Amino acid sequence: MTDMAIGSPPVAPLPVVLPGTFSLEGEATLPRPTVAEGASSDTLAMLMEMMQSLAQQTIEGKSLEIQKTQNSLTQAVEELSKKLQEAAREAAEAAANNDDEGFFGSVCKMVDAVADWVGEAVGTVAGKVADFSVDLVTAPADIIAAMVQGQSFAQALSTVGDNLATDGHVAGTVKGFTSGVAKFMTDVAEFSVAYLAVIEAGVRGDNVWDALKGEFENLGHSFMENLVRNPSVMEVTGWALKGLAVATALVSGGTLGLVSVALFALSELNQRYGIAEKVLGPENGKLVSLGLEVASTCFMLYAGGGFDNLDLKQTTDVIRGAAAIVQGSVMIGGAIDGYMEANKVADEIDQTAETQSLMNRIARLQRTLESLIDELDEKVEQHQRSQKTASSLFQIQGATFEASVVRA
Amino acid sequence: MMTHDIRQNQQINEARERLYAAGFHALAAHDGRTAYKSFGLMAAMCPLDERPWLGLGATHEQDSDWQLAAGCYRIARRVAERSPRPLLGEARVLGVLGKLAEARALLNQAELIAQEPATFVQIEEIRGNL
Repeated sequence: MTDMAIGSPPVAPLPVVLPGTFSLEGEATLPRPTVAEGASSDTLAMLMEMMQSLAQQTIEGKSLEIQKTQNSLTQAVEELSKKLQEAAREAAEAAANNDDEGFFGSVCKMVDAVADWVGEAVGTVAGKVADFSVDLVTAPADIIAAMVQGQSFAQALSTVGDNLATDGHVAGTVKGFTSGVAKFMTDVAEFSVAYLAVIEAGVRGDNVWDALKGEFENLGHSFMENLVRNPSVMEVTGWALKGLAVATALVSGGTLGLVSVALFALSELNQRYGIAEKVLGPENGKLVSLGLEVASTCFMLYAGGGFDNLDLKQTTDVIRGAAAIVQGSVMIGGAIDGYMEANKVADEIDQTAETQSLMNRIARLQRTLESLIDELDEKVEQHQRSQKTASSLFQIQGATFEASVVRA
Repeated sequence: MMTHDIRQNQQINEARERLYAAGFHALAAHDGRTAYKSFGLMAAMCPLDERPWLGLGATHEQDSDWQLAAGCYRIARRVAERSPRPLLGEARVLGVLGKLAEARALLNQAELIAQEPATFVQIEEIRGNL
C-alpha cells in the first residue's frame, strides 16, 4: 500500500533528506514524472497546439452560427454600455447634489447591469449549445472576446499563446504571480479554517464577528498586498489562468464552467473596452475590474474541481469560502470605499442602510446566477452539486455582511 | 462525442504530465526560472493536483525563499490531505526558520498517515535535525 495523493501517480519510497536541503533522488521531495522530459518551450507549444485543435474543432462548419452569436454578443455589450452610462449620469447628478443615497443607488444599478449582462451573455451563447456538436461555451474566454472584435479563433488563440511562449517576461511574471498567490493562499487557508468551522457549527452573533474580525481584516490586508498590489498577479490571471484553467473547465462538463466562461468574457471585455473605469473613474473602476477578475477566477477553480470528480466541499473549502468573501467585499466595498475616502463622508453616511442596500444587490446577483444554473444544467447530479456550491458560496458572503451590518 | 471527449481528456492529461516533467527536470538542473514557469502554469491548469504546489515549494526552497516555500507546501497539504510529502516539505522549511514546535507537529501528523518505511526514515531524519 503506497502513500497516495490526489491527482498524483503512484508514490515510490522516499530516501533520507539532509537537514535544510532536499534531494530529488529517489523522489525525496517530488514524485518522478510519468512522461519523458521535454523542454518547456516544447510543452507550451504542445499546449498551444492542443488548444488550437480544440478551437478548430469548435469552428469547423459553424461559421454562420458563430457570426450570429458574435452579433448577439456585440449587441449585448452595447446594451450594457448604455445602462452603465445612464447609471453613471445619475450617479454624477447625485454626487453634485450631495445626494449620497442616490449615488450609492446608482452604483448598485451598475452592478445590476453587469449581473443582467452575465445572464444575457450566457443565455445567448447557451442558446446555441444544442446546435453545436462541440460546446461553444467551452472555448477560451479570449476567443469569445475576439468574436466581438471580429477576429478569428486561430488568430485570437495565437495571441494568447504568444504571451505564454515569451521567455523572460513570462517567467518573471509567473514567479511574481505564484509568489503573490502563495502568500495570499497561505492566509486564506488559515482564515477559512476558522471561518468555515464557525459557520458550519451554526454559530451566529456578535461574539462570532469579534472572533473573526481580526482575521478577516488580516485577510483583506493580505489580499491587497499580495494580489492587488502585485502586478504579476493580474497579468497572469489575465492570460495564463484563462488560457490553461479553461482546459480544466473544458472537461468538467459542469454548469459552473458556463458561468465562469461568461464571467471571463465579461472581465475580458471590460479590460479591452475599459467599461468599468470609463464609467466609475480610474480608481473605483479598477477595483470593480479586480472584482470581476477574482470572481471569474474563483468560478474557474470551482469548475476545475469538477474535473477531478472530487467532493467539492472537501477539496474547495479553502478557495470557496475565503475567496468568495474577498470577492464580494472587495468588488462592491472597494468602489464605495474609494468614493467615501475621496469625499470624506464616512462619518456622515448611514453605513447600515448602505450595507443593507448592497446586500440586496448581492442577493439579486445570487438569484441571477442560480437561475442561470437552473436553465443551463440538464444533468441532475451536476445540477445538485452546482446549486449547493452557489448557494453556500453566497451564504458565506451573506453571513459576512450580516455580521458587518450588525457591527455597523 | 464520447470518443471526442476521451481524446480531449487524453490531450489535457498529456499536457499536464509534460508540464510536470519540464518543471521536475528544471528543478533538478537548478533552473528556477523554467521550474517556476512550468509548475506555475501547471498549478493554474490543475490547482487541485498537489504536484505543482510541491514543485513550487521546492523551487522556492532552492532559492531560499523559505516563507514562500512554506506557503506552497501548505497549499499542497490542503489539496492532498492524505499525502505526507507536503507535511515533510513544510516541516523541513519550518525547521530552517526555527519554528521547531510547528515543525515537530507536522512530522507527527506525517507519521500518522505515512505507510512507506522510507517515509518513516525521512521523518526521523528531519526530526533529528530540528
